[in-house]
Amino acid sequence: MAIDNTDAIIKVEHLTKSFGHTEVLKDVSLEVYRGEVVVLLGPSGSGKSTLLRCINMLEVPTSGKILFEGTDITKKSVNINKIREHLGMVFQNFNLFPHLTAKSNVMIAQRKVLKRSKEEAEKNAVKQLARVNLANRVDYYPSELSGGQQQRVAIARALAMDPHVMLFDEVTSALDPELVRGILDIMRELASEGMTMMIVTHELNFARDVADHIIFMEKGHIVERGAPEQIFNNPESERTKAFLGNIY
Amino acid sequence: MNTKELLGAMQKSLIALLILIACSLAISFVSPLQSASALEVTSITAAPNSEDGREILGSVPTRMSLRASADNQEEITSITIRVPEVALDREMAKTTVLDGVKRLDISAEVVSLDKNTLQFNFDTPVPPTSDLLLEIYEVAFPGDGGAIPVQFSYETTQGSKDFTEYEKPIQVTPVSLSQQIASWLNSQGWVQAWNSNTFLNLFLNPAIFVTSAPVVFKGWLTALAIVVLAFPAAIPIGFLLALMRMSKIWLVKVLASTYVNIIRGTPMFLQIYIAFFGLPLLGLQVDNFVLGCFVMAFNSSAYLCEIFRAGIQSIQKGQFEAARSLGMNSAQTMIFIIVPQAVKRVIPTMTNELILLYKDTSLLASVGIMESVMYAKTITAATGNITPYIVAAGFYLIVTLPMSRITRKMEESTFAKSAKRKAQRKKEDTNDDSDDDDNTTHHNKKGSWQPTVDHEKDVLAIKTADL
Ligand SMILES: Nc1ncnc2c1ncn2[C@@H]1O[C@H](COP(=O)(O)OP(=O)(O)OP(=O)(O)O)[C@@H](O)[C@H]1O
Ligand SMILES: [Mg+2]
Repeated sequence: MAIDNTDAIIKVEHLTKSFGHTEVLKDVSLEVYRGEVVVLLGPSGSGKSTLLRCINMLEVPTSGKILFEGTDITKKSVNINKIREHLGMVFQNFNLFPHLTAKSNVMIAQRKVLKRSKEEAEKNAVKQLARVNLANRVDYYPSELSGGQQQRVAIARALAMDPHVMLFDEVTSALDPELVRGILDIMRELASEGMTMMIVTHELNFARDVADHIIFMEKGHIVERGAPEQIFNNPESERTKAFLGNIY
Repeated sequence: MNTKELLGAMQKSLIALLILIACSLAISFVSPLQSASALEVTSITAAPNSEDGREILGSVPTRMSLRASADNQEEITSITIRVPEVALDREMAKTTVLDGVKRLDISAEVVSLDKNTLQFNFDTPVPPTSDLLLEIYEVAFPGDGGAIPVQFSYETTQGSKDFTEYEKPIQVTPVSLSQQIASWLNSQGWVQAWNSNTFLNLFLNPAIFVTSAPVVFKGWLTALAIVVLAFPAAIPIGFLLALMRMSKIWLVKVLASTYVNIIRGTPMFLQIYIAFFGLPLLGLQVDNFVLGCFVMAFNSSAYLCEIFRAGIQSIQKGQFEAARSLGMNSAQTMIFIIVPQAVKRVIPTMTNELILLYKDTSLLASVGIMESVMYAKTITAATGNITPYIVAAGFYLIVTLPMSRITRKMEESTFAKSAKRKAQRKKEDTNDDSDDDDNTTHHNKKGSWQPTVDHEKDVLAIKTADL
């Protein structure tokens, strides 16, 4: 899939975020182009999750701009709920709604936010669940599903909103190793279908495979960025070298 | 004597005989009328036996008396009293004959002609001008009351008089079934034995138990009505308060917290007093029952607020984030995601609060609302017996015991239901040859997520620590 380098779907400009006195993000700027897969790497506590959460305003930035499809979503005048419709997010801990079946989990926001009819929402829910190989689990409650299955429902739930961008925050970290592959395969498939994605992960092989662009973060800064071959084979920064070297 | 003469003589004697019979008949008919004033009944009454001493209650034994004076020509030999449908016991009859203020030594042998009729046969004919008092004790009039007619007749040395109904029937006040049962109980030997024990008599007097039950029941209904009105009203107020307490707007938050802290930090008794004595002083006249409901509702809302707040805050942050990340606004998130989950968690504590509220209705007795305790108090004040309070306690338990049981059952059933579903799913999974890469073996980590120990990440953290 072609990446349109003229069309930045997400543009982060001089973003800072502090929790109290600790500055977690320091002057972060980046672009994500339509159709691009951006992987965020970096040691624990470097601010990857915070960055991702700022992009759909789950965290309110301290300063800087975040442009989503040209609109600065940090402005108070922006209806953030409208923006979030187009920003799918998948969490480390799935966060499925435990009182709803898999199908209802996928349907609820379609019904309440997009105001789709029950039939339409249901049809789409079944379709999305089939897409993540859960056609035979539509009526299960989250508590009746394995971790991997739950995470797939969560992906289907986000996809059902027809998002323009998907944000994945360490979506395989809470899973047992043998369940990880299924999720990564789904993400690979999404990438190949041309979905714009921002992925925080510690799966370096996967990152290398799937990324169009890798951003390496440390202590709230973007330390290095570039194509995966460049980052993995020829890292400029000592930090990146150490990080990748230690992992590999 | 020829035949003709004989016939004529027979005819004459027959006529004479007929006249004689007619005369004697006439005399026998006329004589009672002549002695109509032989006995003058001055009153037939029964002793009042109600608590206030003004009424004659049915079913409750009492004393019936007939007062009469003998006429100045004839001597009375017997008097018969009949009260239809009321049993009269000959052993309970007493006879007093007075001449002026002097008591004459005349007694009577009392014969029971039938269940309802007693005949007093005087051993000496009652002399003219004396006064008679016939008393029958332990007479229980019908429980449903009404005007009870009393009939009497008497015999004199000259003849007898037929039954006449006394002009004034006895007015009997109807008593409730419970009072009838109570008086029946009190006549039972085992009850008397029971009551001879001071403790049992004071705390569990069977008759008072029976009579106070329907009265306290009325109060029970009042208390129930208060709760049934106040609690559902308290739920939305409490929910609103909970939302206010979690609000980002400082003033809203402070208003709600202040209210909740004041209500929860002061005794309900005091709140009742302030409302019931304060409002009239402000010139506001509110019906006691309505005001009672209001005080209960506002009090309970503060407690419910904290229950709801805890319930909502017990829902993981991730649930809010997931809902918001899907574009739901905060109201939608609350309504469709948070509240349905919180409800399940707060139902047991809510039921608990309902039980507490129900018990607290007893405090309204202090301002004269007629609920169970108030009624019990009234009876206790009249009887000096604690039993009505025990009855009231029983009525509270009728509500509170099943309620706590139901709560427990509810908790158990949701647990059982999910366990059942889980078992069923497991079966399905094993029968299921799907190409699922991650089923069966890894059957779930108990539904809710746990903070997972992420090995890779931990290793990473250690490795990068000294960078
Ligand atoms: N809500 C918060 N309040 C205070 N500090 C926070 C909060 N969220 C994150 N932080 C801090 O911000 C820093 C960056 O956290 P963040 O979760 O973004 O890191 P990360 O790169 O995602 O790390 P990890 O790989 O462990 O997920 C950390 O030091 C963390 O302690
Ligand atoms: Mg993180």
